[in-house]
Amino acid sequence: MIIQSLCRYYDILKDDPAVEISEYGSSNAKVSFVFVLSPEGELNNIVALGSDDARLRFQLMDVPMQESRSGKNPPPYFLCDNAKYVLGVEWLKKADFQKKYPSAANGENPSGCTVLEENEKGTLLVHGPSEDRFQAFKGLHHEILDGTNIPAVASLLTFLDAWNPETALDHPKIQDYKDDIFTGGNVIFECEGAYLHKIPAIRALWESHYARESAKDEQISQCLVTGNAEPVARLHQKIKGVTGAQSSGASLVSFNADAFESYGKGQSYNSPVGTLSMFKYTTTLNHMLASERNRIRIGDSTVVYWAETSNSSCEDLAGFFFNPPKGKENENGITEGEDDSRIRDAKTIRQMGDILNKVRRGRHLNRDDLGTDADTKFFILGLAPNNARLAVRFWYVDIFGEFIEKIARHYLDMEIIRDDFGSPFVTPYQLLKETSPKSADRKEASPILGGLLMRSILNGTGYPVQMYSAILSRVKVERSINYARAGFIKAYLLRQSRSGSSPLKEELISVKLNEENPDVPYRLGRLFAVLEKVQSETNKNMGSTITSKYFSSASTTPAVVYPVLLKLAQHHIAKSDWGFKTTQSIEEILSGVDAFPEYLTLEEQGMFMLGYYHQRKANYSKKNEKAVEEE
Amino acid sequence: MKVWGDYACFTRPEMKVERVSYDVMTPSAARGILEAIYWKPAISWKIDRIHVLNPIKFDNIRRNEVNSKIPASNVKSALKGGEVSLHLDPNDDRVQRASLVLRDVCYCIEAHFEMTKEAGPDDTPEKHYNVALRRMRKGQCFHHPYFGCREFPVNFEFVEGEIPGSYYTGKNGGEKDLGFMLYDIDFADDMKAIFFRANMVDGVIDLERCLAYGGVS
Repeated sequence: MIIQSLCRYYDILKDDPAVEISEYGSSNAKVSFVFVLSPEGELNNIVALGSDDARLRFQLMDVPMQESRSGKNPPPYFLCDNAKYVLGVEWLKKADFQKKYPSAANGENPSGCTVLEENEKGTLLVHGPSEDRFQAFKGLHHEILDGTNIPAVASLLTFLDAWNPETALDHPKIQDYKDDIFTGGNVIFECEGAYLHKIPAIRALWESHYARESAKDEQISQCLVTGNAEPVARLHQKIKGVTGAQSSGASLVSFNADAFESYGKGQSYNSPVGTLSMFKYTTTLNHMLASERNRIRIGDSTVVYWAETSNSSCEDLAGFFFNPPKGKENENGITEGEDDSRIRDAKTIRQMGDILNKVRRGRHLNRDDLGTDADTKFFILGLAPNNARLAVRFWYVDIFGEFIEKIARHYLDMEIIRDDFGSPFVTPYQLLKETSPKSADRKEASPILGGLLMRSILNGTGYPVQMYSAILSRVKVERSINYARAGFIKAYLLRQSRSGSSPLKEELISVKLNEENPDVPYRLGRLFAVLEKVQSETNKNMGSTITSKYFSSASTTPAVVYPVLLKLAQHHIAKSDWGFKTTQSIEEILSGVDAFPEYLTLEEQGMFMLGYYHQRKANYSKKNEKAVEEE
Repeated sequence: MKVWGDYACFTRPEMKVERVSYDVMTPSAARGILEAIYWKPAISWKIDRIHVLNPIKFDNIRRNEVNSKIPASNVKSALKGGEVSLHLDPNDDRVQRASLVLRDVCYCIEAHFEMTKEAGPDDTPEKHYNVALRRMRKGQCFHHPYFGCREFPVNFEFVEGEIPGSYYTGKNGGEKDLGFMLYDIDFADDMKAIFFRANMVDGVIDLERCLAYGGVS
C-alpha cells in the first residue's frame, strides 16, 4: 500500500520532464565544493557552491548513489564525498579529540596521528581512520576507473595518487576554504568544464559497477511490492526531511534491534523489498520531503501528499486546503503558522470559496470545480520520528474529489462568527496549537492528537474527544475563547449530534448567536457573557473579574456559582447606566431556565462556551465597536 | 467461522518495527486463529475465503515493547544445564513503538483442512472435522486466539448457515485491490515469505482465485 503507491508515483515523476528526480543508481546529496582539476591532475581551483546565505552552503545534486553508511569501516562514495574520504583529513571537536587521544590534554603531541592545525574549537588531523578512508576512496576509484582512457579519469587518478593528506594545508586553495571544507560538506570534481560524475562514459562505468555490487550479496526472494522474485535490499536508504528526526535521515523500513527480527532473518530480509522498489520508494519520499509543494507539518508529524498524476494542480489545490492563505494580520491570539511567506493567490481563494459553497449545498464536485479529474487517486502519508525510525501516523487514500469534499466539510463545520480581521480558515496546524498552553516553552500538541484530528477530517467522522477536552480545558484555564477554539467546539458538537451520539439537536448548534436556542447550558453561557459585560461597564479597572474568578466553575457547576453571580450582578446593575436593559436581557435569557444544573457534562460545557462566545460577539458587534478580545 | 474484536494489527513485514497493519486479516492470521481452536499434527488448515464484514478503520496507538530477545544460544546452554539467566527485564529494555492498527474488525473465515503425512491409521477426516466443529460451537480453544498481536483477543462464533453480508457488498463496483499481501511463511524453504495479490470482491477475498491469479513464488 504505502510503498507500492510511492513506487507508482516514482514512475509518474520519472516520466515527467518537469520534475528532476534521481535515476536508479544515483541519489541526491548536498554538495558544498567543486574541486577543479587540471588535465595533469593538479588541483587548480576550489569553487564553493550554494548561496552566500549562512544557512545554505550547499547545493542539492544528483550524484552516484550514496547508500546509508554505518559501522566501523564505512564505505566511500563514488566521485562525491566529504574531506575525510577525499583528502584523508579529519576535523575533530576539542572534546572528541581529547577523548580519542587523552595524552593530548597534557599538551603532549599524541602518537598515531599528525596534527595539522589546532585552535580552541577543534583539531585538524590526519590519523589512522582518516587515512584508511582516503585509501578506501582511492581504491574504489581505481577499481571502477582503471583501464579506461577518458582524460578526466586520468587526471582524477593522478590527483588521488599524488595526494598526501599530511600536506593538505600546504595547498593555497585548501588553506582559503579550510574553515568549511573539513566540516563534512561533500566535494565533487570537475575537469575541463564538466563534472566528472556527469560524464556519460563514467556514469556507465558506475552503473555497471553498482549493478554488480548490489547483485553480489543479495538474496533472491519474492518482492512484496512487485510480487516477482528479485534481489532483495538488505538496508534501505534513509529518509531525510522529517521534522524531529535525525538530520542524517531516519529509516521507514529498518530492523535495528533483535526483537524486531523474526524467523531467523537479519535486517531488511525480514521484509523482502526488491532493490529497485526500495530505490523507488525512498527516492520519491525524499523528493517529496525536499519540495515545498508536497509537504506540510501537522502537530509533530510531517505530512506528504500526492496525486497519482503528473498534473500538479491537485497538489496545489490540496496545499491551499491544508494551509489556507491568510487574510489580514491576525490578532486573535491564534499563533501564526510557519509559512507566512505564502503568496496569496486570488484565483485559488475564489476557487476554494466556490467549492465550499457547492459542498454546503450538498452538490457533487466536478472537473470544472477542481481544475482536474475528480477521480484521480490522492494519497496522504503522515510520518513522525521515533528514534532512528519513522512511524506512520496516518495513511489515507481516496479519489481527489472525495478528499476535497471531506476537507471542505471540515471547514464548513468549523465555520463560526468571527471578527473582520483574521484568516477565515484555521489550519489543522494552528488548531493543534490551540490545545497547548500559550505560556509553554514547547508549544507542541500531544503527539497523538495530530493523527487523530487528521483522521477525523479525512474520514469525515467525529472529532477526537481527547482534542475536544483539551480545548475545553484550555478555555477554562485561560478563561479566553477565540474563534479557533469556538469553531472547533462547534464542529465537534455538530458532528456528535449528526452521528446521533449526543442528544443535542443539530440545528441548535449555530454559526452565530441564536436567541431562540432553549438549551440550558447555552443560555447559561450567554448569561455569563452578559454578567461579565455589566461588571466591566460598572468598574473599568478591576484586578479580578468574575471571569477570572468564576469562569471555570460556572462552566462546570453552575448551581454553585450562579446564585452568587446574580447577587453580585445586582450591585453592578444598580450602578450601571444601562441597568434596566441588563435586567431585561437577564430575564430574557433565564426565561427558559427552570433551575441551575448541578454540573455540566463535557458536551454541555461545550454548549456553554459556545453560548458565551456567541453572546460576547453579539454584545460587542451590536454597539458596533471593535471587540476587545481577551484580558 | 465469525471472528471479531475491538483492535487488530496484522503487521506488514515492511513496516513491522513501527507497526502498520494490513487493511484486512491475512490468511496466515486466520490460520493462526483456527489453530488456536483446534489443531493436530495430522491436519493442516487451509483458508479458502475471508469475508470482511466491517468497514476498514485505522487508529494509532503507542505501546511499550522490548528491544531484545532472549538469545537462542542461552536457551540451548540452559538445556544443557548451563548457568544462564533466561529473562528479559522490560524496565531496562523498554522501547516505545507506534502502531497503526485496525479498529472494530469483524471477519468470517471459510476454511478446510487437509490431512498431512503425520496422519496415522486412526486419523480420519470425519473424526477431526467433528472435533473441530464441536470445539468451535462450544467456543473452546487451546490458547486464546488473537488478531495479529496477543493484546488483541478474538471473539469467535461458529456460523451455521448463511454468512452475514459485508459492508463492502456493492460498493465501488464491489472490487478493491489490496496490493500484495503476506500469504504465509514457507517453513520448509528457509522460512521464505510468500506474498499474493489480495483482491477483494464484495468484501470477500477468495484466496483460491487470488492464488490462481498469480504472484506466489
